[in-house]
Amino acid sequence: MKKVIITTADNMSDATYERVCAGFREKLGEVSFERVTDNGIIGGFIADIDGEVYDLSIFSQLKEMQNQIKK
Amino acid sequence: MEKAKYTGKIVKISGPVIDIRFDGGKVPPINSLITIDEYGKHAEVAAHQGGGIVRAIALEATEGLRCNLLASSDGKGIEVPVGDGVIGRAVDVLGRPIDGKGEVKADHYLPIHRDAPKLNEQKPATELLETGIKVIDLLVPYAKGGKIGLFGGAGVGKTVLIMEMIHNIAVNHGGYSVFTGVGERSREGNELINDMRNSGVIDKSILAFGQMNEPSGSRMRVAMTGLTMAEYLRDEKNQDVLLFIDNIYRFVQAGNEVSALLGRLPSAVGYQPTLAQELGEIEERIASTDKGSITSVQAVYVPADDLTDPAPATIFTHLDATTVLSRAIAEQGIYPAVDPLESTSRVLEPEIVGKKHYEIARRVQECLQRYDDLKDIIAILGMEELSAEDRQTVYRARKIQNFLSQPMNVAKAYTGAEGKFVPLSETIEGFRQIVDGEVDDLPELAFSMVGNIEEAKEKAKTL
Amino acid sequence: MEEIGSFLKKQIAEFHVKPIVYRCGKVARVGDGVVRVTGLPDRLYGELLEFESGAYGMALDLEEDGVGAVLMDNADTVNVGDTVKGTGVVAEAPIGDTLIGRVIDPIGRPLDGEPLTVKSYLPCENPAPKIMERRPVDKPLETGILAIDSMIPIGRGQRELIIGDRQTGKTSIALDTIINQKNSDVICVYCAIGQKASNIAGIIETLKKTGAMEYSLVVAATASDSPAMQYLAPYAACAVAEGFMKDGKDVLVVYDDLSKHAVAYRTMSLLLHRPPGREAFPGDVFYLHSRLLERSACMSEEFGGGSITALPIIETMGGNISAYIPTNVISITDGQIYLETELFHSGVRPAVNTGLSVSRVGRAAQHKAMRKMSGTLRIELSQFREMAVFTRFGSDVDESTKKMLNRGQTLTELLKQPKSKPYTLFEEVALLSAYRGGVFENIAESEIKNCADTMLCYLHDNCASIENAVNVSGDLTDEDAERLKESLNHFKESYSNGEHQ
Repeated sequence: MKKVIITTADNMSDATYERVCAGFREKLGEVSFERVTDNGIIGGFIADIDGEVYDLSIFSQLKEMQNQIKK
Repeated sequence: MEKAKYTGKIVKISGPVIDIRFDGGKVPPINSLITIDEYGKHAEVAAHQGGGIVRAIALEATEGLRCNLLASSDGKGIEVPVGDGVIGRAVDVLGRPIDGKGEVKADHYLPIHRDAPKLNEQKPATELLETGIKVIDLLVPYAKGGKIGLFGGAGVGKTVLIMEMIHNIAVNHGGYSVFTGVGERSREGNELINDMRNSGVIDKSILAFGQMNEPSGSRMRVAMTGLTMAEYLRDEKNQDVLLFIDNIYRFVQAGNEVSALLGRLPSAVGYQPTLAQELGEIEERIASTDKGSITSVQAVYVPADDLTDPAPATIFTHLDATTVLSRAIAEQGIYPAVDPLESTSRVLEPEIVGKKHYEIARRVQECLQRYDDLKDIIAILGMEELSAEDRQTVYRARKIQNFLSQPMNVAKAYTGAEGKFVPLSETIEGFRQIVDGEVDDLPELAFSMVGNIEEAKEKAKTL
Repeated sequence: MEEIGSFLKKQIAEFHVKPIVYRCGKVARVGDGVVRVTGLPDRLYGELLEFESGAYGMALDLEEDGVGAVLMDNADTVNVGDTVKGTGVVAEAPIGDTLIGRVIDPIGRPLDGEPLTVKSYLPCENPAPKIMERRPVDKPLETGILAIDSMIPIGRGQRELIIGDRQTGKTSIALDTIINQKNSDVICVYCAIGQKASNIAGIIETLKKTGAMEYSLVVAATASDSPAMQYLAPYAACAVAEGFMKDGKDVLVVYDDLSKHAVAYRTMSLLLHRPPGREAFPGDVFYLHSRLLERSACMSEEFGGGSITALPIIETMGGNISAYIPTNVISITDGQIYLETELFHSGVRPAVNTGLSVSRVGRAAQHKAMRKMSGTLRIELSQFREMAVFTRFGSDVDESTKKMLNRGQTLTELLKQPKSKPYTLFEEVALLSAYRGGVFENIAESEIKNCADTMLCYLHDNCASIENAVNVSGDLTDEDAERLKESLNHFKESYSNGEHQ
């Protein structure tokens, strides 16, 4: 069974976290979850599925925006 | 589009060596050509590792390749175009054109991995081949259909000498020439193609290049590519073919580069344990048979100037004439820097070259040998300590040394002098005059960088 | 301010939020600068990997279940369990005009304290130009050093090796050549491999002081950088040069030095468990340098007409040019400038051994004027040297030999030249013309250099028009040659009469 590690900041409520997990369960079927807290990501979440990483953290999105403006 | 016989994917990449796992455990035979579909890159099967995995050597650079790429093979080895369609063309190791003149249209393709002619098919060489280069024609004569090696370390003039021979021999040769550039400079390849186009020699030549910018697989196999094209002309067209290889050492070196990655234990001086075998397989194919002849001139690089290095040492045994170039002689400004005492030729026999030539050659060698023996005494005690006879020998030896030098056409760029082709008869006559003492009164500088003895006499007047 | 504000607002409004997807692996083992990474399949051979700490590594052993990488940065920043990202690109170097005057490391990070804007990149490993994309070398690259420009001339697109023991002036020759490009259109790239940081800083100072940084740049990997970084340096420098060459420019690259480069590669290979060969170097150490130096070429008009000239440097031990790495590189380059310790210590500087030095591209790459003057100089010098040894004990020598010995000594004196004092083409031609014309015939050996300097001053004053013509056209017309000869004869007379003192 796949393992999904979800990294969130303090500010994510448990309800929102459950919604995120449900979304992954829909896409991947039976999975186990592990929750990690890192305030450095500011908001949003990062999902690590056996090494495949989906980064929807505010920190990274801001960095992307910065890169695009630089161009 | 036919589906390839064998399909698989890459499972390991380590430099130029690629491991491929083939589907269903069906593996293509050793030496099969593999294509990595997505990039169109090629590799050759070197070993079967078991479990459906083959170890292959890349024929093109592996940067940017990754595991899980699809690979396929027909189970056939590298095949190259041969015959009329290749004349005048320059190709790479796979027989693909590199001269910008469009596709190569050949009627036949032959695999580059082939057997050598059998013992009873071989024909030994006995007819002389005149090169126009004094030191060679006199002391290390070449034979038609023979195997000639030019040995030398870095920068002593192997390529210049081989180019001079192409200039002197190939231009006048009635038949075809095949030139194979193995691991040498691309610049030289470019210059050769341009020169051949300008002189028209290209119309009776075939060129194959796998130069030193290419990965080991290409350098390992391009010698066979050229050789295969020469063999076709010998066997199917019954030709007398000239085959030039610059530089056969790079063939060994390329094999060395992959040997350890193929899992073999290193042998003497770090060379591959299969050194003698690899050389034997290719050298034995370079032969003259009753169908036709191959006169081959191979440049042999001597690593670290060490003639006892296993590679040149093994190559020596395959040759009929060995022309050894020496750095010490090059340092004195004597070009071609041929060492007259180290170089040998099987045809320097009175039965083949005639009594006169043989005697003059031997007397010249004796004179030079005596000078060599006396060098220590001279260095320590000076010329005065020698007997009058020895002193005369020394002066004659120095004249001989200078007279052995010769301006070459292809070296005009460095020497600023026109090249000279000296017919054998004039060469023999010139040296005869020196050893017979007929030109003792001329200054030794007169003999340096001239053609025949008359030119030396002319030069003496200006000194 | 208004514009910036609305620009930003537009950018933010148009920004689409989408997940950034990448694969993440983990460090399974790390030691000796080699890292084993798991969970990162499908890496490219030679791909740059980014570790959690921001350190970079290069993937050089690809397998189904893991990747072996060599660290570019220091190993103490990487730990087991750290995450690793693939960058998806094989090592690349920045290219473009913004690099001029800068100092960067092999993966393009600036080392001179200022940020670097880069418009494009080229892969560090790039195939060399094909045989038919080239053209023969035909334009000179002037070093300003008489001994070299006359007898070992270098052309644009040539590879000329500078080889010698330590402290024989190898780097000086390379730097002097860079400095001499001030009035030419050649862009210079200096690549430092494995040198002390203080040395590199000193070289950068010299380049700045002489104004060379206006057309040069530096790619540096110091002695304390990882073997992988030192390994990559020359390839990165070459890629930078290729960036300019493809725009039709002429570039000069100095690799200082490739001996240290070979040693770094040996270290890397042994740590990757690749088996050792001669002198413990890996079997492909020849290919290491051949594929690098083959990328220096002269391109045909069809392919841009640009060129990269390479001056690789090799350090020998005890003058042994027959050692493994030196002979490897000699067999790759188009000639070598061999510097000898004995010559250096006996005052012959530049300490060039003209007997063992050669330029295989030779005279095709010389200005006409120089070609006319330097004809048989090399042979004269080599015969002089050989004869000098032979007649050491004052044995009887004929007149012609005595004359030859005299001229040889004069030539040797004239070839001595101080650092950072390049000659113009005219000055070189004048010196050789004077030598040929016997201007220094009756001058004592120790006086020759002074006389030569005085002569050049005299010619600057009296032959300005000839000087101009030669420097601009590269040729010395027969007319000008006659006038020059006359002036030289005047000088010879007046000098022997005690004038000019």
